[in-house]
Amino acid sequence: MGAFHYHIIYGLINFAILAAGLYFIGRKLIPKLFGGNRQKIQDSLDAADQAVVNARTIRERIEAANTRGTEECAEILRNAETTAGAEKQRAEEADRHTADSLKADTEKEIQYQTRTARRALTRTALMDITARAASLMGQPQYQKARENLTETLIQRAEKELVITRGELNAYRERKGDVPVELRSAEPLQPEQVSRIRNAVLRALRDAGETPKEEEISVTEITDESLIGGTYLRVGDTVYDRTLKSMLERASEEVSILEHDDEEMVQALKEELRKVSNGADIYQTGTVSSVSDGICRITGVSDAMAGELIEFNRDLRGMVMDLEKDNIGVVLLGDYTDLQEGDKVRRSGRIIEVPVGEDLIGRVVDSLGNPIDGAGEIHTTETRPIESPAPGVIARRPVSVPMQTGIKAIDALIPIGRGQRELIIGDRQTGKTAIALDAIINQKGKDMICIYVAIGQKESTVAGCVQKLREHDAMDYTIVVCASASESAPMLYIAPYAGAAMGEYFMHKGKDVLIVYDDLSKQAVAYREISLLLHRPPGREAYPGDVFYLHSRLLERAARLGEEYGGGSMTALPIIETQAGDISAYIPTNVISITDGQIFLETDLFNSGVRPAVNVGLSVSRVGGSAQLGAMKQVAGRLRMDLAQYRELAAFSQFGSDLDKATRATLHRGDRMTELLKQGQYAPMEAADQVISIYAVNEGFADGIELKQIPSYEKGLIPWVNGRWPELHARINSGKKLDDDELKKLKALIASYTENFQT
Amino acid sequence: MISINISDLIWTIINFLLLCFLLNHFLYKPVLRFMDDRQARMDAKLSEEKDAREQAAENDRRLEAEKAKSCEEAKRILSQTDAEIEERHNAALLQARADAAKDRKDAEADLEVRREKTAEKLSEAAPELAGLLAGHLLGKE
Repeated sequence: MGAFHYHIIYGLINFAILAAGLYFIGRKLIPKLFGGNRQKIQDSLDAADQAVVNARTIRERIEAANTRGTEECAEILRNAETTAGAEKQRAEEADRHTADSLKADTEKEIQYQTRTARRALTRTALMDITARAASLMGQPQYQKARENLTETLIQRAEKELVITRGELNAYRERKGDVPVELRSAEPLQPEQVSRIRNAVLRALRDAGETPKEEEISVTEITDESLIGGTYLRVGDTVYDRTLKSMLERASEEVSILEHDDEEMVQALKEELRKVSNGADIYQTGTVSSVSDGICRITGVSDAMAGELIEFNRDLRGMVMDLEKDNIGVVLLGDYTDLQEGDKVRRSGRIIEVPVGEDLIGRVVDSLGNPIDGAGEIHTTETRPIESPAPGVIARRPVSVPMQTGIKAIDALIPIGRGQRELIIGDRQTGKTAIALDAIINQKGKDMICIYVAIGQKESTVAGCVQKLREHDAMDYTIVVCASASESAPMLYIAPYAGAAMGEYFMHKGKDVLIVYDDLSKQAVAYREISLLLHRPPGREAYPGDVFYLHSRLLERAARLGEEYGGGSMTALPIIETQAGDISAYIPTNVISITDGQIFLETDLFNSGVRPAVNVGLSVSRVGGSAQLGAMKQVAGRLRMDLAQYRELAAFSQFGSDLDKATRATLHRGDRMTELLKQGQYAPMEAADQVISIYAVNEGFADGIELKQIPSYEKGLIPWVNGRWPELHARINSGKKLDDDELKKLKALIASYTENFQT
Repeated sequence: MISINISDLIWTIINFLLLCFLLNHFLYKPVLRFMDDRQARMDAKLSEEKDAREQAAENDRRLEAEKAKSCEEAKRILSQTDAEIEERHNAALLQARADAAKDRKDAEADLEVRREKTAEKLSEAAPELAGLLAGHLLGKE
């Protein structure tokens, strides 16, 4: 073998040894050295594979987002067009309604002008007719007829003349003197005078006295202006059968309003035939003193408490004080010209006000006289301002809601028809605003509203009337105004006058809402009258019956049973407190009378919570009975939740760390408090309130910023209503929402919330 | 004794160089190529995901813009509707007031004519009515 072959064999052996060495050394060393790197490479490979999957998923998401985006854009445009269509339709209806209202107002105005013109024509004609009749009756050919009037009066006096109890007492006081006055157009015969004297004597004997003839002092006066007949006054009682008084009565009794012009002459003939031509019998008195709106009158011995007394020149007064030898009368009008010695006359009626549909839309004073400059009010009925409240049998429980349109009240302090709910708070806390919003919300709800302004500035009342007109609320509202410039008696009777007007509608089966703004001023006016009448002052100088002043007023608000007409009168009395003191005399009185109170706090008002309702101190004793089923469902636990929130809010001010549940409660409570804020003159429908409160109560608004809650709510309602128009009717039916309906509502709110957040 | 065989040394060196060359050509370069390819594939996949994400973000922006455009269009529709409603309302109110004023004027003119006629009739009937009233007041109890 040659050297070459040795080299090859050595090479091969060398190679084998090298390979074996590499294999045995590197078999474990190499994996140990490169193992970590291998894992990294594997991870990278896995990440790369995952990236492919991710990229595929992302592409799929892009496609889905594109589809969704296209649909959303189309939905937005569709909604905008639907909303625009609905707005246009609503606007058209509103315009139609405005045009119809204007037309109706014009027709009413024309009718009113027609009636006023007819009334003026009637008055002018009557003046002419009575003047002609007076001239005619004074002519000699009617001498016998005129004498006959005196004869019939004397005959009647002989048969029917009685001495009233008051006059009898006066007779006894005067120890046997009965003044008798005889006035006639022509001198009476002595025999006639004697017959009168005998008639008086007979009356005294019938009353159990033993009079002497000389006790009857007869004064005879001849007065040609009486035209004919005789005026007889015995003590305070007058028997007036003169032609002059008959003609004056004829002017007052005849009223022609409803007849066409063609029939007016014939109608006037009929009315003239019906004019009373008998003796006018009434009691008279004499003014003995006048001061500070109180008049003392002697005579009118049988005057009744609360009776209307007629002075001259259209001045009226109300009997407040009955004393032994005089009566105290509060004057209801301008008494500048009233003098000592002026004659007054009993009306025989308890003070009353005109009532009827013609008062609706008008502003009147406490006696029902118009003060809005829109002309006379033509009513045919009157009601006494004081009347007994409906009894227990006539009433039925309060169960129908009276929606104020204010979320905080309708959800937490619900008011029912026939309830008395007090609105109490310091000045400038929004009491009147709540009342006005409640009135504005009654539009279209077949409710007559009465706003009684007591002791307020006329500018304030004018502002309220203007606001009511702007919101078409004057179409169903009466405003009774006893402003700060009126005398105390007018402020005193204003709420009763309003109640009388409301009772007219209530007894006709209608629902009435009456606001007394405010009763504190009525109490002050009553205090003033009582002190001037020298009645003994009690606590805070109020008279002892100041509770009765308000209780008899507020008891007249009730819900009547079906057999009594089924009407109702809901009262919202307002009381102004001083420095939040609800434990003062008048506030505690009225709180104990009413069926709950809405307490408004100054601090809440100043911190921007408006309406500034203190939910903790406010209550409605009727409660859920006067709430719609759906509202009770969503707001059922709201009061408790808010109470819990208030406690935790106070606690969190200490700045300690709060647990998750507490933070969640505070978070939800902040949003609910923000939701319950509401602008003025913006009442909400009950169904809309249910939607808003439900949304926040169920936590849909938890992700919304506090300051965005108003805009969230503003968009939520048309969103839900547009997609579920039947919801309103469902909620207003009074029934609760079932599970399916709640689910549907939740879905709608959820979709709106998602849209709002993006 | 150890001695260096030059020819063995040269052959060993040649052997080594040849081995290096062969390893480089048949092992080292393919392995590197493989590793590079693998890295490139991984990079491509990662890049694909990155592109997809960028595409998604771009798409989101585009969709937002389209949604904002739709919202703008919706606002435009609503404000146009508001303007139309306002215009129609003003026109309707004007027309209603004009109609009411015309009705009022016509009614007032008619009322004045009727009032004069009625006043004349009442004036003519006054003596008869005065006689009726006088007779009624004097004649009955």
